[in-house]
Amino acid sequence: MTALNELKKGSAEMLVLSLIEVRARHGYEITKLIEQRSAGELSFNAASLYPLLYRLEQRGWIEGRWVEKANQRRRRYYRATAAGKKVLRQQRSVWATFVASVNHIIGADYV
Amino acid sequence: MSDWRHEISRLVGPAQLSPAREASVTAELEQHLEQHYADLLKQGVDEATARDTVLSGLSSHDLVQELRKLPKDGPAATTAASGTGFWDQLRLDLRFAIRMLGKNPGFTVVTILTLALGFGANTAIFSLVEKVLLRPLYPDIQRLFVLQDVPESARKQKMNMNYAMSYPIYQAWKESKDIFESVGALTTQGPSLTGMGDPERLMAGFVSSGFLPILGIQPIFGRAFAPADEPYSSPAVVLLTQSFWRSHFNSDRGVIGRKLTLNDKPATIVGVVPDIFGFRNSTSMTYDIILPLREEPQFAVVGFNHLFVVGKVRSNLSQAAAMRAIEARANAINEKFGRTHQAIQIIPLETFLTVNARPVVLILFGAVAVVLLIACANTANLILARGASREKEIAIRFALGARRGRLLRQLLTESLLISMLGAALGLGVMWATASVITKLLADHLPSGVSVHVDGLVLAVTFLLATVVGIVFGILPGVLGTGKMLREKLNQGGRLSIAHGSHRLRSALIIAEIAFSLVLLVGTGLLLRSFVRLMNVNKGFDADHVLTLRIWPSPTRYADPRQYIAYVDNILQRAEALPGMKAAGWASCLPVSGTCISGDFDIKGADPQKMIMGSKQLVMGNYFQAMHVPVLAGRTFDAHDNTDSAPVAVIDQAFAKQYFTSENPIGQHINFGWGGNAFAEIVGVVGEVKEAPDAPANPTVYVPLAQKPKLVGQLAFSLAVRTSYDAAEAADSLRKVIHQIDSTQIIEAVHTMDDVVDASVSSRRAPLFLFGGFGVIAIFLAAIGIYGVLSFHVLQRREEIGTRMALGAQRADILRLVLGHAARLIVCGIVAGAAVSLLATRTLESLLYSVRPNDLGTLFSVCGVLACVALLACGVPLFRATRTEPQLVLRND
Repeated sequence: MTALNELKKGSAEMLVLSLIEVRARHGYEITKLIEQRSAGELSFNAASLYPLLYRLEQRGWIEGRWVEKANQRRRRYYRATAAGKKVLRQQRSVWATFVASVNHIIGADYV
Repeated sequence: MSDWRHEISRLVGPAQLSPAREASVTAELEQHLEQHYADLLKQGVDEATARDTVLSGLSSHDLVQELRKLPKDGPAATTAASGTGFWDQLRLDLRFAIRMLGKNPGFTVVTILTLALGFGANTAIFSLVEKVLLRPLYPDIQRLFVLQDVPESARKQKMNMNYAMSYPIYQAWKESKDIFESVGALTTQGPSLTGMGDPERLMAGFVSSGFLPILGIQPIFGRAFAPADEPYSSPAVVLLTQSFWRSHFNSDRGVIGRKLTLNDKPATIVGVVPDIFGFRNSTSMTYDIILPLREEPQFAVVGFNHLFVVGKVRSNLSQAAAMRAIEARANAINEKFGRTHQAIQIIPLETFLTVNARPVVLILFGAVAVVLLIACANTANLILARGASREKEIAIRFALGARRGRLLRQLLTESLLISMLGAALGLGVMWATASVITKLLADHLPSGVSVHVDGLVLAVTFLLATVVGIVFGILPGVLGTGKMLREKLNQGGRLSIAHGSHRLRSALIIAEIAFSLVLLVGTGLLLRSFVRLMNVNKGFDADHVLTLRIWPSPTRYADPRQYIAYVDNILQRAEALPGMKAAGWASCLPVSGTCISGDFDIKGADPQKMIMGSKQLVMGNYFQAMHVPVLAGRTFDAHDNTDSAPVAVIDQAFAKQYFTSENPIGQHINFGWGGNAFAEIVGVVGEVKEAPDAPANPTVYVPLAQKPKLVGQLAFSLAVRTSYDAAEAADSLRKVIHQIDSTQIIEAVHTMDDVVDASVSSRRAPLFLFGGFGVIAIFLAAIGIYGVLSFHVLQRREEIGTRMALGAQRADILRLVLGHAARLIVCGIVAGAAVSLLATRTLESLLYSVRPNDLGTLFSVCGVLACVALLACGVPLFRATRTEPQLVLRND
């Protein structure tokens, strides 16, 4: 878990961006999705997620908006901006190359 | 449910975010934790464990560190409509401001219009102040002096007039090379232009080769005049001014070398120069063409003063030293020409050009400043009134945690938006009225100066708008936000207003009334002068008189006999037209300001005595046509021609001044112009004014037929008296003249009423502008009074309702409300009257036979203002008396 979390740090931006690439989600939804899709292997707590979101927002990669929906509380939804999507595409290809290289070195048996 | 907010605040607090951002972050985290907690409970986790789990997700010291790295007032600060950065905030504020202004269109429109009037008037007049008083009109203008040859007598009487100079005296000055770097001369004539469509009369400036360079005027292309162009025998050359080049040659650069036919003689175009404006009375006149000054020998004589002379003193001479040197040289020149009673008047060119404009422009500037003050007072009032009705809104926003700075910023955005819109509209108003104002003031302004927007004017307007916007943005903010407002809210948000602001509003109304009164008193004084001027006895009857001017071609009618026969023929045929009562020629028309003055010699009079007066040549029944009364003797008839003894007619003013004890009839006078023969005075006619606001100039009339030497050198005006509407005679007169000579240019076809009208136009301009500003002022003041009183009535609704419920009659209520209004109006009028008595002194130079402290005017204006002010009270008063006590009291 700890080792994974170290890896997570390097790829957190990509994880968040990929989750809000096509639809806007609020912060809690993002942590839930990361947890579900990684089958509990990866998790973000509030203290690390929100600063990350604010940082990404400041860079202009994502955009947050307070949205009011019927019978719901106002929530802040985040969505990847065009710039964010471009960064995501780059990171994906770098990641794919990186994973392929690492596998090549350490051998695919461990995967 | 746990108090997440408290925990979050404890953690986030040290990051020292802006309150708004902190609120947003807290809200977001709170929701996150709440949902996490709810999910854990749903999964069957007990409350204590769930709480610990949730809080553990928060307790990372990363959070504070990470948040600290972010901008304090970043994107999370605002809500759905939020953007990032200063410009987004501004956009947001602007959008809000527009929405707020849109919600209250009445207020918005009135305020913007009020400011537009204030700004528009100010910008227009400021653009004149800038050009007349702040900018040099010509390069090195402090070294340029106008030199005038003035009769000593005129100088002693401190007659504020402009005089010209004769050619020999000009030449003498030109040789004073130790004082002047260069001396230039200009005279104006109107040659005819033929061979380019219809014949037309041009405005031609005849300049010495030094004249244009002295003023720093260079040809746009082609060449300037050289001294070699001045001798009478040189080939005829002409410079076109830019406007003429544009209108007659379509800006064709190939004009150089082409010829213009002027007075039936060809002249070669050698260059194009920028537009050049007149320097004497009609400064709004521009020249069409510029010709070299070539003096015909018969006019190059001392006494024929027709040159406007400007000298540029050497750069090593100070202004004072130059003046002293010029004075000393003047005496030497007078001695040289054996003149004893002549003097040189030296006027710095800048003074010469702005002397008429300066007081008018300054007075108008004062007037518009007052208009702006009134507009500002009104705006302040409107904004305060609105501030009062927005108290609740502001108080709620304040109570909900809006910071004082944020609220002020919002209010500032609104007021700046209003003032900028006002300024923009004001510039629009000015742009639309610029040509009208320029035309109105043409007689007062130096050549070529007009109302128009330039960088400085824009900058000043923008600055003014910003200051006004900031002051009025902060005003209700200062009076409105803060502790006071929270108290207001505690009172249940009832509409009420702070006492300070109420007193301020009353003071503003008093100031508005006072300022309006000052402007209206000014208007009243100008109006009274104008009426007196129009009613002054001018010595003739303008009704049913039509005039026109011709200048028979000196080449075509070179022979004086032919010339005289020609003008006589026109006269005979004109008089023969049906409905014509009398017709006559004159070398200048009454009140037209175009008469030529000079000195005379009376046989047997003291030779040291200066005899000055206006010189007029007449022919036909001029006196009958103008209804100038014959007081003694006779006027001229067909027998007074070159074959008979010379005769003259003098006017009453001349008789009074120079024939105090003896009978003028039978005396002999030398007209001194176009021949030096003594003429017998055969008659005395009534005095005719050359300008409506000046005493009549002593005048000597001689028959045109006896001055053949002057023939061809002067334009003549035909005056006809008709038995029907004079204007209708124009066509038949034109036809008559063209039947005799189809090439004759006919100019200045006006009824004599129009000529009189034009003669008072310089008086009309300040009157119209002042009147305009006065009307704006009283209008604004009326709006102000209406607004304040409406508000006052609204405020006292409960009191009025209670009083009525207790049996007060409508009349009592009326007295109550009117009492309040009357106090304000009386205070305003008293203050305004006091200020008027002081301020109207500045108008003195613009008044005619009315004293600046004319009490009649003051009282009538006070009356008018009081009536308008009371009218403005009408609607609020009506509302007050219609108060339904049950409704008001039930509402509480």
